[in-house]
Amino acid sequence: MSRTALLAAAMLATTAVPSMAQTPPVQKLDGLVNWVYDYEQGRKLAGQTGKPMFVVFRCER
Amino acid sequence: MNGINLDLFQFEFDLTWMSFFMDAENRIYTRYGGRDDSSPESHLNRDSLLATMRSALSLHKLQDVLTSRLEPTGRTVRTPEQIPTMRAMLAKRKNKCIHCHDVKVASLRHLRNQDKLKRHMVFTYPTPANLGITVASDRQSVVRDVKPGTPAARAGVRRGDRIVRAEDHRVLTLGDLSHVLEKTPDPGRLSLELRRNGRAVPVRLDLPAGWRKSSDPSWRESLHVVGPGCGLWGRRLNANERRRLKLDPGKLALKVTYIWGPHTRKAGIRVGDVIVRLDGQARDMTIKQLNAHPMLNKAWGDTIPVVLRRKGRKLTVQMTFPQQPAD
Repeated sequence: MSRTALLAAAMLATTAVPSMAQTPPVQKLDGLVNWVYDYEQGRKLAGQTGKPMFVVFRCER
Repeated sequence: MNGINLDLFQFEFDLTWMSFFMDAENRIYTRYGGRDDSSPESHLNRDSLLATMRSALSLHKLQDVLTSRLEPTGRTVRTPEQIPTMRAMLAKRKNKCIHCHDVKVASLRHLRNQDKLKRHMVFTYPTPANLGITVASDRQSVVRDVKPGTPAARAGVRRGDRIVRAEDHRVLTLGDLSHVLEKTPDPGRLSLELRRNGRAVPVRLDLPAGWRKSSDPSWRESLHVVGPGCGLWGRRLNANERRRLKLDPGKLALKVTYIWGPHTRKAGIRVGDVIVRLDGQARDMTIKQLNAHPMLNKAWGDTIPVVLRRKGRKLTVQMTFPQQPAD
């Protein structure tokens, strides 16, 4: 794995979608990154691992 | 955006992509994202993202989060669902997904319902271009160019300067600077700390009235809230089609492909018509730019002339916008 890929893997801890009643299903992304689709879950993971979060908002319209 | 804390995640909701580098305590290291009028990806690229990731990792080791007075705390939870006009918007949809631009549309509609909406409010999250600064594509805090006669030029900002701080806010990216600019009044003043040849150079920019506006906001999804649209969709004629109709290549020539506005039909505009002049505007435009013109310049209930080409004939119709928004 390249230096770049190592950095990205370490950073891509979460993407933000919260838990709410009536929240539509998450449109999951394909790829090499294990995205977390729940912000609070991402925060918990970041706290446990000591890693920073890379929180991404993407909109498809 | 369902359930997102808008107090914590503040960004340009007309965008389609935005990111934050944060710690587990809701604190932000830096923001990455943003665009200018030219394209959605004008400031998104691999090199600048990697540079930002590296910086964020370094900052994380030092726990060096942003602490300026402009930083949100996230302690007050405010969600898109709490915007009063959002409920009505979602009621019309099968899929209850709240898009980024929905947040801005709902917010502007709420202001409109309160008679507080001003047209300039659509110009949110200005970029360095509004100051006269073009930033480098790989390192977004570095000034690549300064446009003469602009606030940045008058303040003495130079090519090659690195923007270290805006007000008391650390700047690593366009997203960081844009966050500060969003909080800067119109007219207003902006203090920048620059790094030039290893020295710290403080400058102060005087920002004239209207500095937040940009020349082509037609990409902004929320634009339709601030003024009436043409109620139609279309496409630019290509060179061959223009030649056939003897239309100037540099002039407006949009073929109507779809009509949804009752006022558009009432004006007599039909699918297949070619619009060659609208409200006196004959410069070449995209369909988004055409629709943006009345949204930015006309009031509900106004009437404008539209010049068309239909089956080789030229005709002028009058389009009267609805007295009030349909939503």
